[in-house]
Amino acid sequence: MQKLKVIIIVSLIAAFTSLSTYAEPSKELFWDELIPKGHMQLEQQAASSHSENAQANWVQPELDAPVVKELNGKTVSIPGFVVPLEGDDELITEFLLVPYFGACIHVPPPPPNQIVHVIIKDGVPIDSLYDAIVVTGVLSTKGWSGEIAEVGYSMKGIGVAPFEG
Amino acid sequence: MNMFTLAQKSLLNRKSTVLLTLLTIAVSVMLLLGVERIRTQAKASFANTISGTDLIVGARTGSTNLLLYSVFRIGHATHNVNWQTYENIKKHRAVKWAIPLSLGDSHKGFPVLGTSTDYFKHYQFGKKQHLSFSQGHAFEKPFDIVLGAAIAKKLDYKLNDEIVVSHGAGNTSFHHHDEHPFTVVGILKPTGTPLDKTLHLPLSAIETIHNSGHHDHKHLNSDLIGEPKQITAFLLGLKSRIQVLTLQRSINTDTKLTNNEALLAIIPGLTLRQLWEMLSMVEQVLLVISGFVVVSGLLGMLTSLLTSLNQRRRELAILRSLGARPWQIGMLLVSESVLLTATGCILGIGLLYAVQLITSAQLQEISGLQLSLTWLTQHEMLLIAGVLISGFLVGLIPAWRAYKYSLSDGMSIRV
Repeated sequence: MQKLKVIIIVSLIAAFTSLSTYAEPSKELFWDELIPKGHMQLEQQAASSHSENAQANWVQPELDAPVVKELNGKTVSIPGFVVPLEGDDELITEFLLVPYFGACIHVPPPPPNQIVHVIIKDGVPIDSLYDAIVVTGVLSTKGWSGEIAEVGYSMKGIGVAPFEG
Repeated sequence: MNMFTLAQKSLLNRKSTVLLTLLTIAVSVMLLLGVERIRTQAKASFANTISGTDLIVGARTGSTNLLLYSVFRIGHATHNVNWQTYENIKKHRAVKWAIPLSLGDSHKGFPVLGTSTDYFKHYQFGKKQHLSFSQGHAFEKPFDIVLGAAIAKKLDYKLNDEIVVSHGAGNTSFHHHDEHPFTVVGILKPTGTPLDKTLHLPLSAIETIHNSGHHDHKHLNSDLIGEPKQITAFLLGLKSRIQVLTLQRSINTDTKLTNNEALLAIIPGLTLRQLWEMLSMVEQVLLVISGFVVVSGLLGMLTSLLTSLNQRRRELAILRSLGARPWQIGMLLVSESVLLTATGCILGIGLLYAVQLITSAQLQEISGLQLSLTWLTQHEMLLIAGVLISGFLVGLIPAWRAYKYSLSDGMSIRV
């Protein structure tokens, strides 16, 4: 309960700062908006994910899935699940935001344009990995070292709120 | 006369009961804070051990098990990883760096880790801090050894000392590899992680100490990797962290990449989180138990205050005759219980620090847990405030009784 309060307070602060610092209010974004129009990949993945054929199951979705360049620099809110990467016992400072829970075990991972690498400088407390959250931050579509395979979304996080949908 | 000084004098008049009550409260407060401290600090020291590593790969086992033996040196590997597979995965286009880990040997009970020089370059702990040397440098020759800070201190090793490493993970081994002494070339700065208790050797040396039968001088050249057949696990850093999930999936399922070997790749941050979610039940139970200990301490105080109340009816009547109002009598009782709880808390905190000071060295030796003697955290302050408030609330009960007595009794007491 206490943690939830903290999250709510953090998100309130985040809401205020995002309103004051950035001229444009954060836009709620859905995962299919991260895929360029006309690019069919979700269906492929859904087909392979529950396939009986184990061989087909490990085939990776395309690694060079394109990103929507127009989103670069935009302040957005994206709902999703957390795969923690860095942090201490209380706060998570770096994580991957993915569209479905368990992205790591039963089904192939989402393609790179369906993963957002979030870095939140001061960290956020995440109570349970089973709960969806909404992350607000500035999106960047710049790849890390220029290779095709490394293009993806990264985000400078501002705040995190519990997902209520 | 001030109400608190009056309460103090009245308490001093009943030393033995008061002392026992104080002790009960002090011990319960110490327990509450101690449990809280071990819980948070154990978690913090675990969280600080690994950072900046994207994947840990080992033979297929439980993900917690892999994390525990590869990073925290708790438990043992069930199987090894073929060197060829390691080379294969290292060549994957998403991989930026790889650190091989070979565990299983020991020196006087301290774990020995065979690795490459990349370990000193890429391994990170805490908040992405790199390893640094307090003395010397990384190994450069096959018989060089780098010590963790705690070992150098405990076993009193200095640079250029010669060390014999034994085969197996026990405290003593019956066949020492006497023919291969190692020279200390570097001592790491303290990290507060299990690394402090680890001896680092070149990978080639691990192979040599196992081939003790036939002396192989071929390894005496500068080859630090040698021709290892197997390693225990390895750490991977990726070019982009977005690739983490994809590569993890590949290692877990792609038989071509792993040469048909059953491997497991884990994301350390995620596995650590899962471990805590699993342990959070135990944590809650511990906290609840120590909370109940505090409650029973306060109940003990309540009992002693209530039983003494009957004996003190005459005292209260005298106070009344001296002009004390009934509410003042009530206040007296409340301030007594607040005074008792406050003193108990202070005593408990003192006890906590004393116990911590005495046992911290042993605790670290036994469990590897480092408890730092920090000032009270905000959370601990809150707990103490909670105890004080409950002490005040508990004091209201005898106060109410005393108030009633002083209203009805007057000077003539019918006991």
